[in-house]
Amino acid sequence: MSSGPEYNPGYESRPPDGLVLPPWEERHRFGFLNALYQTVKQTLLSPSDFFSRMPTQLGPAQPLLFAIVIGTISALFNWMWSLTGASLELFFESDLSDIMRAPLLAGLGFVLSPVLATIAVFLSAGVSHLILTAVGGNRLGFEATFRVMAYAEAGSVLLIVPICGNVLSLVWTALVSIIGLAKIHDTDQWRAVVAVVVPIIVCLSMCGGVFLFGLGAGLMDR
Amino acid sequence: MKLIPERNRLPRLLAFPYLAIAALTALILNLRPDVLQLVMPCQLRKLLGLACPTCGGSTAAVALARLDLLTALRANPLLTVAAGFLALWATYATAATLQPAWRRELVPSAREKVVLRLLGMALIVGTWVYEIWRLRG
Repeated sequence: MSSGPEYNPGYESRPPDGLVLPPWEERHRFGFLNALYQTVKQTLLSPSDFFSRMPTQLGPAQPLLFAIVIGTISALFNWMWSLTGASLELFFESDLSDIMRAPLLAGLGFVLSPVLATIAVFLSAGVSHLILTAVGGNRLGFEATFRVMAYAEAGSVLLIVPICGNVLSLVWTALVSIIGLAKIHDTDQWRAVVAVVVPIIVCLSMCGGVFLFGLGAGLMDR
Repeated sequence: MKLIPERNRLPRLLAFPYLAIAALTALILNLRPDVLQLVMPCQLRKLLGLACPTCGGSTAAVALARLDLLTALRANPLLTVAAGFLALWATYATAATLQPAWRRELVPSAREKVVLRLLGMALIVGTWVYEIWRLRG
């Protein structure tokens, strides 16, 4: 386990010594697209370093903005793949309303993606934080958990991969969240696993039908 | 449990996004309760024949949206208690935001933290046992 940052209530304008701001929070230095790319790259490829150096008392606005931008981009890819599937479906299906249902829903998802991404981050962070607190893994408060769940949304860019993008994105996001929670709170891996996996199981058991149906329909579309 | 002046405003301000999400959910469930048709029956129960702690959650959510607390409590105690806490939290947050002198923080002792954690776990396990009993057969 790494030696995590100490809890220090109240917002700071600069990170304490030894901690490094994510590129996304230094967009003035990196530029918008480069900061986005660097943050996604570091989150997905070296989450351990990324989260163990992250400060936690700078407010949740910047991580939330990152999650919204990534959520919007991934919703766009989702819509694009849905349209591709529908255009292929035209070869063997004649009912246009059936064909266009999935792209219309995906299009609506894209339009509402900033709101949906915000809701998703708040819900996943809230539930994971409650579970992490229940199993005794919360050391740095809600903002630390919120930061991990928001930056872990970087896994959604894997929706760019056709056919298996949904599953890849879900698995990678979960892995990044587990590593991130363990590092940022300086807690045991098993507590982070429980905090991330339990909401996924609950979500799958509640919406599993919708998820599997969507996945199946997506596979059949392509 | 000690009540001290507020040191960090985030816990208070966080009540508002969660209140907004709850209000939006309640509005959608009141206007279009048929959206719940999109939520299939619990897959855990379907596969293993065992209810999960969130079984009855959608029924409880519809009942809460209509302020029918008894039906909500019967359907899923966990969600109903969570909604009660959210209501208390949102009331405090609104009052303390309007009246800065009321801004306080609850600081539990180490022992109280353990008790609160155990109570939370007992609520989850209790709801799970209740749901298995309610949906038996």
